[in-house]
Amino acid sequence: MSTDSSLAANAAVARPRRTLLLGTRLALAANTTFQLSMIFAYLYLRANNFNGGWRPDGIADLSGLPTAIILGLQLACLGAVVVALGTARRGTSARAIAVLALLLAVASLAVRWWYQYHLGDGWVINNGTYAATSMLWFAVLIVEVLLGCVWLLSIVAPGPRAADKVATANHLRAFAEYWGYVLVLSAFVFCIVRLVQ
Amino acid sequence: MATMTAAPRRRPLSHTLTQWGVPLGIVGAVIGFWLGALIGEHLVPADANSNNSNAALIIAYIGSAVGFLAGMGFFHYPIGRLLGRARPTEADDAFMYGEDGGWKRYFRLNLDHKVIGVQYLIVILFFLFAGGLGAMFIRAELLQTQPSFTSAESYLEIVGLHSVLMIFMASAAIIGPFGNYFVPIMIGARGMAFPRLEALTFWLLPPAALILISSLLVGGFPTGWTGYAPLADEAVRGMDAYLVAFSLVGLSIALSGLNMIATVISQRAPGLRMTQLPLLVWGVFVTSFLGLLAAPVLLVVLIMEMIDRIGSATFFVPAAGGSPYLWENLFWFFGHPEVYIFIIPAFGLILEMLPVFARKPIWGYRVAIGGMIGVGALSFFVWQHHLFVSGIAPSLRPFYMFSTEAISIPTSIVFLVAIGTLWRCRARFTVPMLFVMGFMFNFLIGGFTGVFLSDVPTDFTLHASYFVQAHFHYTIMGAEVFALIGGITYYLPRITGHELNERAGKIQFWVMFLGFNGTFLSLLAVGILGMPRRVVSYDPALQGLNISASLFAFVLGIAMLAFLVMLVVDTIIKPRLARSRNPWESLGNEWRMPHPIPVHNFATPPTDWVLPYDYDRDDARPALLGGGASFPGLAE
Repeated sequence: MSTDSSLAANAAVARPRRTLLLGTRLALAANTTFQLSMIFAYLYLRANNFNGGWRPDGIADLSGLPTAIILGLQLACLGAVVVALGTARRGTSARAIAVLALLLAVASLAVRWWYQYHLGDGWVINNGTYAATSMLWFAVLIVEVLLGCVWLLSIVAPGPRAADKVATANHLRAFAEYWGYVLVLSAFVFCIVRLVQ
Repeated sequence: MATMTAAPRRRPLSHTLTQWGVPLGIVGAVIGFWLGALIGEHLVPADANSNNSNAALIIAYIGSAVGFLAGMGFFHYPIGRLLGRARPTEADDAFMYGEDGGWKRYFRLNLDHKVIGVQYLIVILFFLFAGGLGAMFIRAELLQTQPSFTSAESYLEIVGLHSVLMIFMASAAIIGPFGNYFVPIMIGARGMAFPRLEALTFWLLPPAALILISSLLVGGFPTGWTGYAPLADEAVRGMDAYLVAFSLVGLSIALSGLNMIATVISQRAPGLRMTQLPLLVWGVFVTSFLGLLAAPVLLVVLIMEMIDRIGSATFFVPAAGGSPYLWENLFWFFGHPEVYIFIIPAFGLILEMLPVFARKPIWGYRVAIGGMIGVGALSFFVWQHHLFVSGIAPSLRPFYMFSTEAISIPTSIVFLVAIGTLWRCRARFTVPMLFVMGFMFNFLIGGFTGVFLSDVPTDFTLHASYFVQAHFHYTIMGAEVFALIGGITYYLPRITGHELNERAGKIQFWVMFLGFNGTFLSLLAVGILGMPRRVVSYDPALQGLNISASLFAFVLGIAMLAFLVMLVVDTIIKPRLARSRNPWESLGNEWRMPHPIPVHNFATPPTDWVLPYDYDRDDARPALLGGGASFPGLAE
């Protein structure tokens, strides 16, 4: 075996970005089978309605307003991240915009958390499989948003790392993909739970 | 000339804490358990609708796992990032990769993939022998037709513990030690794509094992490894241990898959194409997709069961709208790919060793890759054959019968490659080669008996009998564990510089082979005669065959113990130096590295690659290190 230093040097520069993006996409692939299992459970229990347990009387319909606020905040966060990414790629500091994105993400998390406990009458975990499956799904989304907040926090944290614009851009790019996925998933889950009762 | 010596850098607190490793991890686990129990008791109200004690135990178990990881030092890096601390310095890296050497690096958080490979090996052997102890107990009990020294409940606890420990072992038996140790080297990488993630996948296993074993203190679990609901909903608190422990292992499988795929795709040396990868790498690569995509399904179903047990949700309780079929579908959607997670890396390992001892190139390299991909892809379409007798829609049965039988085609292709490689070879029947042949013989029986179980009418007769149990053991114990032991004997000189005694190894192989086949051929017969598994009382007419199975099982147990003794004696107590640095004269690149292999493997990535299977060339000589052949690109 021999080595080629210029080839190796190019690979060394491109590698961290490629690895981070690849890792993110693989994590999203795993997340997808997780979500497909949730969809299967939801539709399976609904379709079979075992012993009349699907959607007992007294469970309130989901209100659209809190969900619209949550999705709006998540979308605004994604927009801020995309702007921050563009800024970082131009070589200027994207920290201020990224901090704004973090605030929007945390706000969406807070509203989600509040909404989990104010879904309406009849929304308790042991009130049939409709409520249980939906609430579990919403809880999973809370975890996904929480992970996103932590990731974004690690990107905007002050210190020597923040000065590394290439690394910041790489992380913002990967985060944007993750957050976009969570946004689409959030909308999808709400539509299913709201429309396929 | 006067030299200036820099003042010694003060060791960071995080290093000091990480250095403590396992002991601090245990302290963290105890604190985490206590805090978790406290939170669980207060978080879930003790009323008629929720189970406060299950909540406390489940959250305590989760707390103990998190506490263990915290004690091990897993949170130092992410917290440092969040606090905006500087990137790790070279000194930090040297510490985290254990460049100072010594045995202590194996008992703490370490990012060197080779250290992690050895850590995996130790824990895998622990699982194997702890699970094996359970097997000895089971066979001793079944010498009598009625319970003799245990109750039916205790018997089930031991059966459950044995099965889950062995499943944990099998999940990582090949990919854990050999995948982690050799994949980066075989692809010319300096390490894994995500070294901390790699360490995490390993360090999730010890708390999983301890949590699982602790189930004995709270009544065990009656479900075996499949954890079927609604029995799991009604089971005592030992079930909580099963749920948390299996979740940790599921997480480990998924993360390990992610890391391996990312490593093979993004860390390959420049110029190294996928069609130049050794077959062990391919086996690991294909398996990693299975782990990445199947394990999250397991996590979903385990979380649902935890919520059933904590909050009295009814995902799996038919009386309140749930369904046990939901468990069966989701569990087996993970469970069947899981058995290929066991076996595909073993295919890769066997095909890696075979040309070395056949002294022939691998016959049909690309065909072998196609076979492994075929097995992996089809494994997602067969799960409902586990539900043949559960009352699934009859119209679904033909499809799943067909798809299950179809999986024997790519499996046969892998076999064909092995046979083609053996054809007219000049085999060297060393100990690893004996295990390769043992693997092929046992897996042939395992695969052949599997065809019967994929057939709906036969499955109706044999389901839940000892035939199924023996079939499964032929594929896992007979194939994967034979591959594991063959792999250990093959790679031991590379990893440790020591070698097992050849003569003792051959004796051990034949005793193990005899003991294994005696046991499970007897159990195949017992199963055909209708003995159900997981029962402690049975028809006296079957006692003869059961005694035969038990006696052979004890022989197998002795052989396994002998292997452990050989391993300890020949590597630790009285180290037997390898005949050379490459005693098998392998052409594999991993054998061309110096001993010990440098921490970061290569200073610069090597670029000139060839497939390491050219054993038919007259000039094919392994580049023995120390024999003059250099290996450009090596780290200093």
